[in-house]
Amino acid sequence: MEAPGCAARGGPERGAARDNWMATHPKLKEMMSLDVADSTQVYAAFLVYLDLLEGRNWHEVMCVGLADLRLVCLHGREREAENLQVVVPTPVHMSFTHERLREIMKKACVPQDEKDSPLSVILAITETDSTVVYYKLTDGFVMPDLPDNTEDMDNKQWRKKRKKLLK
Amino acid sequence: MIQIHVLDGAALVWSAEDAQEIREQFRLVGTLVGALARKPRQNARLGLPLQLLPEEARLLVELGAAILVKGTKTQLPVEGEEMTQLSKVEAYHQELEESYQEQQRLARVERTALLARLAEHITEGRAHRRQQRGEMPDTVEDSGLPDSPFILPRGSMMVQLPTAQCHPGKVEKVDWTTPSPDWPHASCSAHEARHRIFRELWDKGYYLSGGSKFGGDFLVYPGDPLRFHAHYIALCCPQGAPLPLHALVAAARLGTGVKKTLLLCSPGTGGTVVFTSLQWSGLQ
Repeated sequence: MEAPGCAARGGPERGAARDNWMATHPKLKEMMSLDVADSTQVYAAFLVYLDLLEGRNWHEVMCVGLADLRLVCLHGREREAENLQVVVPTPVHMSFTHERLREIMKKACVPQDEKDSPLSVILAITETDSTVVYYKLTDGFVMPDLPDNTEDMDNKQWRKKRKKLLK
Repeated sequence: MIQIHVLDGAALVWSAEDAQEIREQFRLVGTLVGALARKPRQNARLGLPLQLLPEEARLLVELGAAILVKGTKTQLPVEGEEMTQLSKVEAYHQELEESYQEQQRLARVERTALLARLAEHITEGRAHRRQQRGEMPDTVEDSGLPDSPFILPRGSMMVQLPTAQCHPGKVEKVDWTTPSPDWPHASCSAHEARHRIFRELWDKGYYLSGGSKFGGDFLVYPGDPLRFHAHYIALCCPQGAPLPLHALVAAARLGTGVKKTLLLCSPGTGGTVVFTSLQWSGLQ
């Protein structure tokens, strides 16, 4: 059945395929064929795959099945020269414990070029409305990005404060 | 030996010297929770007592630097003691009266000096007012001194409120290893996990404080909190505790918003503690 208002570039058969384009997407089929995870996790992995490539323009993304974690995860590079990053997609309702997160980090991580770099993965959490949030998990202590103090010195507000203090 | 007074699970330090020692020697910060005697109706600056986290109090006791105490119930004075109570009250009133007389004397001296300094201004003002009223200028110079001696109103008297007990009351030691109404944390598994994590972070040299303002268990500072902002918000995850993703996202987002890294902490096997840092990935 042709969808009204649909720009049919091919014939009527094209229109039919367009309606359920997701179900016939080769990448989704590939992920399901890995047969390691349940359909909600595979669907989350597929959404993240599309978001990374189409939304955030990553250079390349490949899917990897992890049987003993029962997860499909993604290996990708933001740009050609960058390191490989591991992205673990998960629907928001999947249950976790801190131990499970650490288990995932240990088993999903790929060894980086620098030997001493700590275990790190990106957790990609998908909501039911298909929005994705990305959080980076690293083993150990990672200092936050502290505000650059010299920048603030030129700030007009900072100058006013200093005037008040020195009065 | 530092005395930590416990009351319904709260650990309080009343001595200023002890509070200073706790901060300088032991790198423990605590929170001041008392009203300041001279600025009572605000809470921007509070005073003694210093309230310690249960983990901080336990650490001091474990190090052998402090003991937990609680006040014994006030008993009715025995016959012989009753007299001494009255004499104590009398002595206190006597002290107050002496203090008042001294303050009045000093107030008079100061007032005389003040009037002497302003004598010129006062005579000028009086002459000006007389001129305005159309009276004859007064030929006799005013001495400027009031006729009756100055009386200091009782309400303006300064009274000292001691923040340490002048006469220490009776206290008894509290065993920190067994749970009691005043120290219920002993053998509570959540407290054990938190303390394990607190001890590990403290051993690494960090300064720690309560993290409830940022939705966490502890705030982790690289140095004294008066000099540094916290780097981490530590969240204790006991073994097997569920970690819903929406709560994780909320905590991580808060951390990003206040420029701190979220630190998930769990007691691991063999007495170790594992830490996982959580940051916003920054993917646009």
